[in-house]
Amino acid sequence: MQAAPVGPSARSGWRAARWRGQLRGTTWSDKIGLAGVLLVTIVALFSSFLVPHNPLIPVASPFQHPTGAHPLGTDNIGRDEFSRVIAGLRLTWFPALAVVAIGVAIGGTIGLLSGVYGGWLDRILQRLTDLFLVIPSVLIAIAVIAAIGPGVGHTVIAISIFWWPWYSRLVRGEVKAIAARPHVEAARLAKASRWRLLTRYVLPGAIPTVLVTATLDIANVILIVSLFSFLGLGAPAPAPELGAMTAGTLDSLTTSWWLPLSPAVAIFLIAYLSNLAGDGLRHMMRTA
Amino acid sequence: MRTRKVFVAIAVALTAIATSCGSSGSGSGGGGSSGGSVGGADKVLRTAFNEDVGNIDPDNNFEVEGLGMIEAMYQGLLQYAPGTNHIEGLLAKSWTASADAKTFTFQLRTGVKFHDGSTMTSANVKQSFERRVHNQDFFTGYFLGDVKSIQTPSPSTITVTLNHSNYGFLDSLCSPWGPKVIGPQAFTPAHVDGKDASKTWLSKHEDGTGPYVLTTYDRGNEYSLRRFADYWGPKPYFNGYDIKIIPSLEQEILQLRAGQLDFVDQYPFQQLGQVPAPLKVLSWNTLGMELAIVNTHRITNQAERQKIAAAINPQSWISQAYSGYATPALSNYAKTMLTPTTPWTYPQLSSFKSVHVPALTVAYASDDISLQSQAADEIIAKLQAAGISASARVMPTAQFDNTAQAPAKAPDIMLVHFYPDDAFPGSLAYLVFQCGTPLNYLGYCNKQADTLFNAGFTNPSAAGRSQQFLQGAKLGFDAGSFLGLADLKDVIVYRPGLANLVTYPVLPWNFNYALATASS
Amino acid sequence: MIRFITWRLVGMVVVILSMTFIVFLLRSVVPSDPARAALGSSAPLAAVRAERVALGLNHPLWQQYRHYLGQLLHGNLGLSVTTLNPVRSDIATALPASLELLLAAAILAIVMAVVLATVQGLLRGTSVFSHAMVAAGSAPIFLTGLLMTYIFWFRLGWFPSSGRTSIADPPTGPTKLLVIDGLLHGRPGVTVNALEHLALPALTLALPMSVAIGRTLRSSIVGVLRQDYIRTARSKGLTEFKILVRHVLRNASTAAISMTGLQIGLLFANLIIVEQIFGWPGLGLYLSEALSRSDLNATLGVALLFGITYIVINALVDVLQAVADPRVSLE
Repeated sequence: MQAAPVGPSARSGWRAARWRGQLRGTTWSDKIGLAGVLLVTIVALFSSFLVPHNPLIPVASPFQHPTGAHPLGTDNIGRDEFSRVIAGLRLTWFPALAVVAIGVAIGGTIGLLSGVYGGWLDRILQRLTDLFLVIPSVLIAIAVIAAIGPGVGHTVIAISIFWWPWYSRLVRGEVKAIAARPHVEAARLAKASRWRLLTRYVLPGAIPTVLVTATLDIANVILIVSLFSFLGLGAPAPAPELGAMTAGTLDSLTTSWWLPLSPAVAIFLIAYLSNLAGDGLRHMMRTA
Repeated sequence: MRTRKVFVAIAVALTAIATSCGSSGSGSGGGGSSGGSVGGADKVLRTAFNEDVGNIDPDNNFEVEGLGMIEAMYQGLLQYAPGTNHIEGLLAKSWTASADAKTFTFQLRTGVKFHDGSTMTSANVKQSFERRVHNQDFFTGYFLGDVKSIQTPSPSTITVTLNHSNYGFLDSLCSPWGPKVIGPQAFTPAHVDGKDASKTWLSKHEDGTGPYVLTTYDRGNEYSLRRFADYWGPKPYFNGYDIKIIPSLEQEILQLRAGQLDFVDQYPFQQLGQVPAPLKVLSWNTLGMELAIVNTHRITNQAERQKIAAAINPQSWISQAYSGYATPALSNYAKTMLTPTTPWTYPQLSSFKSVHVPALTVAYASDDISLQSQAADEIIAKLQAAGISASARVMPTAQFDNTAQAPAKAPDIMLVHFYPDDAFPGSLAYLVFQCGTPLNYLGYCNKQADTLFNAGFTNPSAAGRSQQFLQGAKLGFDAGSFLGLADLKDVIVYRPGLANLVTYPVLPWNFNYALATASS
Repeated sequence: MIRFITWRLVGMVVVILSMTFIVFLLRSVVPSDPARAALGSSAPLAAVRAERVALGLNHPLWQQYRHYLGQLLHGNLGLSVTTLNPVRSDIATALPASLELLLAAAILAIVMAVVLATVQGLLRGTSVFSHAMVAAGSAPIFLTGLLMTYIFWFRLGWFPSSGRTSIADPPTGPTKLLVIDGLLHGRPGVTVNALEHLALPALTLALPMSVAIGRTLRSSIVGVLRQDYIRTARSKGLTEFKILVRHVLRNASTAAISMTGLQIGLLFANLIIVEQIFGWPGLGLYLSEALSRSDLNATLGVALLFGITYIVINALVDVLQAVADPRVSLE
C-alpha cells in the first residue's frame, strides 16, 4: 500500500500521474469495458432523447424485417424494436446498479460494524448473514414477487434483500485484514478514536476491493434482473423490458429471429461490458 | 404477460420448419403416427384439456372445456339445432308453453335408458330438477330458482310451473349448463349422503342418458368416455374419447403435431395463420362476447370514459389482432344472439382532445392470457397514441371476482370474454349488465337500464324483448362502462380425417362428440 | 468432526424452518381470497365464509403458521388454482422430467469443467480462451438457449427443439427417467430418442455452471501446481497425468466443491428458463406456468421444494468439504 501523497503543491500533478499509471496497467479489453459501461450509462440516462421512435406506440406494420428505417424491425403490434431495446436498457441497467448499491450499503454497513466492533455484535450479525447466505435467494425473491406483485421497484427490493450478505462477509473480511496491519495496530495503541481509525485506515483500505467486487457483481445482477423480467415479474407491459421482450417473442424465433435475439444480445452486451469493466478496475487497483 | 407465447414458440417453430426447411431433426417432424384412419383401430379419439375440470356434476359446474364431456354423458329436455339457436327436443319429444310463460309441459321420449340400466320416467326428471330447486347454492342452481312446482301427471309427461313469467325458460333448458336428467344412481341414500345432496358422488361419477359413459375418472391425469350400448339415439361413430390433462398449451400443440392428439381447443389466435398442414382449423361464431369493462367508480368523469372508448375503438385493430377470426362487435351482444338495426358506434377521438385521463391499468384473467394478451397490447398502444398512459396487469381469476366488492381498488379496464348461458338475450343481461350480478365485475349499476331489462324478461313479444335488451345494454355502452369489442370465433384445430364436427353457438370450445365421424 | 457435522445439520434445520416461515408469510400477503378460489366465482357469500372458517383463515397468524407447518410435514402443499390438484401430486408428476434434465446437465457440467480447467491450466495464460470464457459466463441463459435452438435445430436439424420424447407411447416406469426406462423395457429407441431430446437443454443448462466451476477449479489447480509437494511428486518420477489425478485434482477440488454448491442455487433459476424455452415438462415449466397464472400455492410449493433441496445440498457440500479437507471443520 503506497504512502499517501504529501504536500499540497505536489498533489494535483501527482494524482494525475497516478491515474495515468493505473490506466497503463490495463489491457485493451479493460478499456473497452470501462468505456462501454460509461456509454451504456449515458445511453440509459438519455434514452428518451436517443430513441428514433416512441417505443410504446406502433409506427409501422408488425413483424417487419430489419431495414434502414427500422434497424431491428418491428414487433407484434408494429412498434420499432430498436427504440424498444434502447429504452429497455434503462430498465435493466439502473435496477442492477441499484441492487448492487443497496447491497453494498446494507451489507457494507453490517460488515463494517461486525469487523470494527467485534464481540457479540459480530457474532449476531454474522449468524444473520449466514442465514441469508444459505437461503436460496433467487427462489425466495421469485416467491416474494409472486406474492407482492410484479414491478421494477419490487424486483429491486426483493433481490437486494438477498444480495447484501456477500458484501457483509467481504467487508468484514477486509476490515479484519486491515485492522491486523502493523500501522493500524500502532494507531490503535496510540489511542486513536474509532472514528479516526475508520475514516483514515479502514474505509480507504476496504473501498477498492469492494468497488471491484461490486462492479464485477453488476453483471450477475443484470442476469438476475433479466431473468425476473423473462419470467414476467418485472415492469408490466408495455414497458420495454429486455427479458420480457425476449420471452414474449420466442414464438417468432424462426420467422422473425431478430425479435427475440435483439433484447437477449443487448443483455449479453451490458453484462459482458460490466465484466470487462470490473476486470479493468481490478487491474487498475492492483497497479495502485 | 406473454409467458404463454413462449410455449407457442415451439409450435410455430415446428410449424415453419417442417414446412419450409424440412430439417426438424428426428422425431419432431410432422405427422407422427398419422398412418391409418383417425381414432385408430379402436376408433377412440384423443384430446386434452388445458385446465382440469372443476367438477362433472351437471348442477354444480361452470366448465367450459369440459362441456364436450358433460354433454356427451348427460342430456336435458331440449337442445338447439346444430349451428343455430333454434330450439328442438332432446329428451322431450314435444312441449307446450302457456301464453304467460309460467307453465311448461313436456312430453318425454320413451325408451330412454340411464347408464345404470333403468328407464327414464317423469319421476326421474322431477327428481333431477328438484335437486337444483332445493340447492340454490349450487353454481347453476339459479336456472331453476323461480320454480313454483313440478308435476308429473303421467310417466311421460312433466309440467313445470314458475312463479314469474320467464320467456327465456325454454332457452335455459338448452343451455350446456342447464338442467340435465340425472339417473337414480345419484339419488340412492348412500350417494345422496344427507346434506351433501350427491355432490361428492356426482363429482366423480355420472348417471346420465347420453351416448357416452364415463369409464375413467383420474383427476389431474385423464378421463375416458366409452359408448353407451343402450343409448336411445343413433349410435355414435367413435367408440370413445380419451382426454388427457395437459396444463401447458404448448405441450398440447406439440402432441397434436406429433399425432398424439386428434384435436385441441384453445389454439392461440396469433398462430392460426400458420397452422401447419395437414392440420385443419374449425371455427364458428358463438354467443360469446369480448368486452372491455371500464371502472366507473374510478373513472367517474363521463368525458374521460368517452375518450377511453374512442381510443379503444376496435374497428381498426380487432380483426388483425385475432388473425381474422374476430370482427368488430355490432353491439354489446354477440351477433348470433342479437343484432341491432344499426351497429353501435364508438365516440370520435377528436371530440375529446382536451380531456385528460390519468394513467390506467388494463387487466385480464390469468386463465385468459392467450386470448387477451394481444388485445391488451393493442389497447394499451391505442391508449398511448391517444395520450393516455396505461399498463397491463394479469390477475389470478379468483381476484377477478373480488373486484366488485371494492371497485375503487380494482383495475381501470378489464378485458373479458363471456359465454352467456343460452341464446335468450336476457341471459347476458342477468349475468353481466344488471346491477349486482356476479359477472358485473366493476359494479356498474344503472337503474334505468335495469328497468328496461326487467321489462324485457316479462315481455311476451320477442321483437319487443330484443329492443328492450338492446336499449338497456346501450345505456351501459353510451356511459362508457361496457364496451363490446368483438365477435370472436371459437376455434378447434384437428387432424385430418375427422368429419361432421357439429358446433352450436351456445356451446363454447367443443363440437358434439356423438356426431363426429371419420371422413372416408 | 462429528460435532461439526451435527452443528451443520442443526443449522440446516433452522434454515429450513426460516424458509417455511418466509413462504408462509408470503402466502398471507396475497390479496386474493383462497376460499373463493377454492369455491369458484358464483359461490354465494355464505359458502365463501364457511370455507374461510374451514380453511382456518380467521385464526391468528401464529396459529395459522403452526397449522401450515403441520400440513407441510404431512406433505400437503395446498391446492393448485389452475390444475385444481394438490400441488404435491402436480410436483410428483413433473419431478422426474426435471430430475433427468438436472442429472444430464450436472454430468455434462462437471465433465466440461474438468476439461476446461485442465486445458486452461496446461495452456497457461491464453487470453482468447479466457475472454471466451468470460463471454460465455456473461450470456443470459435464454440467449444461449435461443442460439442453441436456432443453430442446432432450425439450421442444422441435428437435435429436436422441445419436449422429452417424440415416441407416441413411452414407458411410464419404473424410474420415470426415459433414458433408463427405455433400457429397462428393452426399447433402446426410447433411450436414444430421449438422449436426443436431452442434448440441447442439458447443454444450455450445463454451460454457465461449467464455466463457473471450471474457473474456480482452474485457479485452484494453478495454485496447487505451485505447491512444493507437486515438485516432490515430479522429482519422484510420477507422470504428469498421475500427478494431475492423484494430487492436483483432489486438493484443488475443495474450492470447486463449494462453488458447485453455490451454482446449484443458480441452477434452479436457470432450470425454470431452460424448461420454458425447450418445452420440457418438468418443475421449471410448472413453476413458470404457475407464475403466469398467479397460482401462489404452486409457486410457493415449488420454491419451497427447490429451496429445501438447495439447503440440504449446501449442507452436504460443507460436510463433503470437511471430509476432503479436515482443516475446514476446525474453522
